[in-house]
Amino acid sequence: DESPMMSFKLLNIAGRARRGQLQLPHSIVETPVFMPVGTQGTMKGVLPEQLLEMDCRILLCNTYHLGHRPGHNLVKKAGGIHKMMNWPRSILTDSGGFQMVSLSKLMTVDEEGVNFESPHTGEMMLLSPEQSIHIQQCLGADIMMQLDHVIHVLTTGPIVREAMGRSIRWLDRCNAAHTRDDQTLFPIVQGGLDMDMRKECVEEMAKRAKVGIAIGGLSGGEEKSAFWRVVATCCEALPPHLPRYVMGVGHPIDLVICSLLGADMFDCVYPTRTARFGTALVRRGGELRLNQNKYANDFTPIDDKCTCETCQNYTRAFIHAISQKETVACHLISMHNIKHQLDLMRDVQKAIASGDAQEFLKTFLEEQYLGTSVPQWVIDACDYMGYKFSHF
Amino acid sequence: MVKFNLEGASAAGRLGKISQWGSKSIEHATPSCMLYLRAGHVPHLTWQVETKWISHLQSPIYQLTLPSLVESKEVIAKFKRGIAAFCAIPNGPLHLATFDPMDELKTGYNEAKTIAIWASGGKVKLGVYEQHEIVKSFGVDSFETLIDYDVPRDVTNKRMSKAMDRTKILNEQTFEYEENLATPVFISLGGGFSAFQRRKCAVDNGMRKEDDEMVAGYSLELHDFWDGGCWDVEELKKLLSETFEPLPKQRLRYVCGPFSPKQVWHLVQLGVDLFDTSYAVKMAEKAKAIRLNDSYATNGDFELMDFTLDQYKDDFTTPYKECQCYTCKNYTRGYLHHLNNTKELLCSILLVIHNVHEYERSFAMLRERISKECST
Ligand SMILES: [Zn+2]
Ligand SMILES: [Zn+2]
Repeated sequence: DESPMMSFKLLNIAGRARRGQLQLPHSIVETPVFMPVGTQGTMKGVLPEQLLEMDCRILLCNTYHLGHRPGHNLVKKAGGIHKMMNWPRSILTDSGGFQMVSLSKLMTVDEEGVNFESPHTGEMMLLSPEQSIHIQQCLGADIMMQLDHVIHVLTTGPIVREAMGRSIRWLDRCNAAHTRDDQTLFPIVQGGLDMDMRKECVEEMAKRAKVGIAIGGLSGGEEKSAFWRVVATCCEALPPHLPRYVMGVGHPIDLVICSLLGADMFDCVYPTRTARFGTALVRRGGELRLNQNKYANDFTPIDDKCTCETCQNYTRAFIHAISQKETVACHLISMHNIKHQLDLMRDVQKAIASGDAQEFLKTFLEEQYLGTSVPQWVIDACDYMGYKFSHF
Repeated sequence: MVKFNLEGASAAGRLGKISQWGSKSIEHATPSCMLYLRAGHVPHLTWQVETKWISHLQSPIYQLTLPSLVESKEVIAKFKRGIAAFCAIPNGPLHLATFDPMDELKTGYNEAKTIAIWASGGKVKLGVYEQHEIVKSFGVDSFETLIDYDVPRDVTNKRMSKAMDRTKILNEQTFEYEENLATPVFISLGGGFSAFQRRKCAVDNGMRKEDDEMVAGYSLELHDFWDGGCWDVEELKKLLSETFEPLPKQRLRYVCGPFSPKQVWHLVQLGVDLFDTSYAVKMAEKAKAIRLNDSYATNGDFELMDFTLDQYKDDFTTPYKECQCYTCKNYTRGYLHHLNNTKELLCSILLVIHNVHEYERSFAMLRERISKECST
């Protein structure tokens, strides 16, 4: 069994939404939570201490990237990923499989594992479930992800069932290979867009899950209407004691809807990636493209209600003036964007705790879509959850 | 005014104290360096990171560099609250340097009444009037007179005397405007590689009365000697002594440029008081860390640790265990190698923090040596 340093406690329930506390070896994570992504073992120009100041509790790092550079053996030699990057709180690593599939030109999957051509050396390599766990144990994150058989979300036919079955068998192999008791392993629910298969997979995976579980295979270009239904179906089928991690989700609207549907954890490169192109996230209107000339003489902060370092000290005009010229512009927007995501999740938590999720949702949608129409999938998801808005 | 008190001098250099800079009171011992800023920032550091994670040995004098700001001059004028508020610069003296010591100065672009600087959108012609408008709306505490810097080693006599004439006119015009502006100004002194012209430039422009409060000090033009350029100590010694010899000794002597600790060590001996930290940033951007030898004050020796080299790949020791900076206390050589190898922005951030700390420490070591020599 997992050691008592890892557990999940439900604190409040509002409709389908849950507020909880996930105890991990390096921190207590308040859920629903957004996990910023530090792909290469660093958060795009933000110091660990700045993330601590925002009270960020957990980061995601990519196994594939760290396994390649500096290499998992070197990370181990450095004393593990926490020590190497000077981050005292929790970390989650993915299995490495997804990136192999997306970065490698040649890729085949058989029962043994994922065979792929290294984009760096050109050699054919094998990532087996055992190897994925070995690498992740060298990295030493609090949460490891199982290696799963990733297929494109729009794939249909017998391959979906085959991939699901294989992912379950690989989970067993991951569990067998997992030896460190200061790390936990999350299974990943597969099943494409087929609701029956999702339910079947949930049943098998939940049996084997210890601390938490992930809903995989989404955010790959599927229709939003299918996306939210899969999340809803999985959340409904999953037992309440497992925190549910929806992988690769990070746009504010997705975070809010998925949280209210009962999901607990999210990750996405969106806030830092979009910062590099000069885009700041705001509640009112969603995005601010600071490169646009209309901000050249705008002496207001990105968001006058935001308490981040950037909004306390800098104007849109200044960021516009240095955008794409100085790395500082990118750092300033990244700081704000990460804080925006963390604050949004804290607001979701507050709404769940106080039971006024409907009121929160109404205000959030009004601000986010400012006069433009709310997308149909959002209205449908709200209907499904029993939130009614006469004026949308 | 800039209040500078020359407290002593030895073969190792001059020892001084700055107590006032424009409207700002400050305690700042020399030899020292201003904090180099690009776009109003220590490159790669937001001011929150700068103020929290660099501990300066003495409160900084900020060196704004004009090329990264000149294209924003209309916006800053409209903003009305000055450059410090626009760029979120903490309180402290602000000097406006005409050139960016991290950039190259091209030859062949200066004109009769304007000099050329290079912004991101290309060449900008700067005349005395434009400069004064900028000084006013930025609200800086000092600036420097414009100078025709375009006198390379192979300059013709004709071009040299033209440069000398232009510099003199620019200098005179500046002090005419100064009547209304009252912002202290450093008198820029050039003359290229000619000892004769160096002296002439000093005499032509630098002889204003010693009690003239408009004069902040002298700004020595040495861009042909910037890091990577020619470096002949004997030649420099001749040029600098010809420059300083006719001038009042009590005035502050400043030189803009990315000079290595060894070059600083030489220039301090030749009588320069104030530098800037651009070299520290320049090395950080090349993934190099500066380390002064323990004997630095006596021989100017220092080393560079190059994180592009694979020897640091699996070295998870601190960069320098004696160093007290944030970077050395929290990160390893192997991690810095990894950050550079993956082109991560954190690499420059961490190395700027270390290098600025170490670069400033070189001046503390020099001050200690000079002060010892002065008291014996
Ligand atoms: Zn903000
Ligand atoms: Zn250091």
